[in-house]
Amino acid sequence: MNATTPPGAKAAEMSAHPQLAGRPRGRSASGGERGRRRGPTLRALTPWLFLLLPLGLLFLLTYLPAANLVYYSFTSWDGIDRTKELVGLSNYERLATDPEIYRVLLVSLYYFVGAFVQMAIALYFATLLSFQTRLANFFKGIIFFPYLINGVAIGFVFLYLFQPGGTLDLTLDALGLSRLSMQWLGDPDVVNVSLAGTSVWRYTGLNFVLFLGAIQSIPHELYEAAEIDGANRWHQFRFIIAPGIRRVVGLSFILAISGALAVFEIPYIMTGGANGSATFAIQTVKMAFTHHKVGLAAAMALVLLLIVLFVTWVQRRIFPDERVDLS
Amino acid sequence: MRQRSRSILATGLSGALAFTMIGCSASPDSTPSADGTTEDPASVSGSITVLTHRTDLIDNGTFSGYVTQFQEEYPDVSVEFEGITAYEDEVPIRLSSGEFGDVLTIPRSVRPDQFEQFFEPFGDQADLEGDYLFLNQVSSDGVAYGLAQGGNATGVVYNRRVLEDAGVAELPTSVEDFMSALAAINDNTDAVPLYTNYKDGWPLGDLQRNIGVSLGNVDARNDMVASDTPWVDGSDIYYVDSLLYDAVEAGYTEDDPLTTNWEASKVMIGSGEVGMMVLGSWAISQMQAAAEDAGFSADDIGFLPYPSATDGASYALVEGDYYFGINKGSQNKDAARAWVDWFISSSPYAADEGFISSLKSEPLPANLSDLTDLGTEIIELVPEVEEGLFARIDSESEIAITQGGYRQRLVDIARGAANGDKANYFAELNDKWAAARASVTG
Repeated sequence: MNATTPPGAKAAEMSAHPQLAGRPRGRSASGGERGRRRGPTLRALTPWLFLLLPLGLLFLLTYLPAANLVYYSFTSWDGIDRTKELVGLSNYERLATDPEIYRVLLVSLYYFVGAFVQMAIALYFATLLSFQTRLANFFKGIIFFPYLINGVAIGFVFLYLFQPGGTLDLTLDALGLSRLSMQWLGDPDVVNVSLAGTSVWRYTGLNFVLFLGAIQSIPHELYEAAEIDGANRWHQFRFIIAPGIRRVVGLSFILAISGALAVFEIPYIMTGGANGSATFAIQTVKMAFTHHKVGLAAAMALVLLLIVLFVTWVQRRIFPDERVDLS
Repeated sequence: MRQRSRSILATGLSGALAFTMIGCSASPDSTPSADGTTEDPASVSGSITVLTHRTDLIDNGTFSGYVTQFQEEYPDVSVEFEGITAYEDEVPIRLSSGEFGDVLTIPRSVRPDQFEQFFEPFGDQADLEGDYLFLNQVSSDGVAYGLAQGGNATGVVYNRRVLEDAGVAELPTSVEDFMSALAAINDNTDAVPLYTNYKDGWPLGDLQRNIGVSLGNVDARNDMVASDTPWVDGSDIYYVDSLLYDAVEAGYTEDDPLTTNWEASKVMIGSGEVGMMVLGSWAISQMQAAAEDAGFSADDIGFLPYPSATDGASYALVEGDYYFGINKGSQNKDAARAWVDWFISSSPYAADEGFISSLKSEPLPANLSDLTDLGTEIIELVPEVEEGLFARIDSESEIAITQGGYRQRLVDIARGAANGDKANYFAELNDKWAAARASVTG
């Protein structure tokens, strides 16, 4: 559900992969035997040299801009001027005293509920397709495919879907359900549900793949032993699969919350944030580039980061990340 | 073996470092060139990069045609174009880096008091005013920092056949006649009387160009800056926003504004599915081209003056469309100036695209004949009393008068999708404006 950091990295960490090797400790390392050259040898330095490029890019593209953002949040910069005037904490004061700015977080609730729907659908299909099903690979491909499509393309496709007389309306007509038709984007009570639905369509594949991977890592002997003991599919799910994928579900939950709070792409492309579909991130972008208040927008971005971190922390306290032993 | 792997690693390492540092290049030192007026064509040389928002004219070869003509006069100047689609999003960010070509279209978000940080002066406004129009928006402290690529007049693009079919006998010039015409189109035809293009946002934002037209008030911006209640019955912006509100409330606009489509709207007005759109004269040639491409007649597209609230008079405001500026840090300022001067005085751009030429000596384009036939008076806004003040108050208030956001909400209120009504929304806007005004000028 998270549209920013690919969770693949975290997923890799979550499954039981060994840690990355540190500096190789061999006879040729520093110190040790007499007659050897002093100081770290090339062999010891090699891993660090390999890391130099990714670390360099990480610094240039993540930490440096983040540091700039913190700097901007203490200025009243308009994004264009050559000079940036420091204004101390006044941007943060505004954020602490103006409740209107946080009203848009209510829109994130729609996406949060959508994320639950997403996880339920993904879990259902992952469970189904983890057993021996005909054409399993074909279905896996279909379910994952939407995640690979560019967000802008998805936005445009769904715009045509939601148009009056568009694909969705035509389908309802064909099924004889035209009385259910409404203004999918024009009606302010429905627009967020439509957009959250688009988001669910887009990201279900990702959750599906994560759950599928986790389910498939459960040893098969457990299923056989359970069948011998007389467990049916539901019992197998409840007592074998569910505990086994608990860590991945926890991870997906965290991603769902941070994704829902920071949702930007789908509503920005489809409605531009109009008709009550603006999210916190869209409001931040508008503050920076429409109202020329880059300082305030930087502060808003940092506050969003703090909110996400806080929610993640609360979650971790309530659902601690424990190792589950299935054997 | 060790030696080879060491040298491979050394090469790889320096490559990696170089790759990481690509983004950190320092800006080149710029040596100020001699005064920017055009010198003898034979002596001007250099290679310039022109940033432009007209990616369509790059793609269809029009601009390279211009370069060929340009080089007949200035053989030693080579011109390269950099077309940018999301121009207003990308270029303002590039300004502070100094990397924005030699010639560029000045982004609209730059305030006049910021011009001298980025752009090379063209000369004194008083001197240039003898030959050029539309210098007010591009001058600061009496110095002009750019020249207009062309000018636009305010008005309403409409489909003649739709108006005829609706039974509208006389072309409407007043607000009452305009609303009656919309009612007639709504009752007698299947067309959408007024298409707002709500979804794209910028067409609603562009309605701000009509501030001052209803009353023929050339001081409109200065009046707003001096008032704590600009949205009050009888004021310029009140007429603009009220017209939109009333048209939406009466049901004269599209059913689902969230799904409007700019490109489709051009075809729709050509085919007669849409009656009118409030757009400047820059849109006339685009609508005509789209009509022809879709198999309809370009003659069906006409241009009305923006509805007037003054009895017996109608007005059209003219102002520059986009402006050329020259990068202050450019190494080829003479060549850049040569291009700008040639483009404005000798290229067929303004004529072909239907703009008002920024040369004072040129007549109004033919597509404005509808206006002149109706006796519309052409007026121009006076310079701001304090440069950039309007923009600063607008930014501080978070209303963004030149963007579509707050008018989208206005449309939502009018169609019942948001709470409130016109009176208290305008009161809210007045409060924000007054607070911003106090903060900026206080």
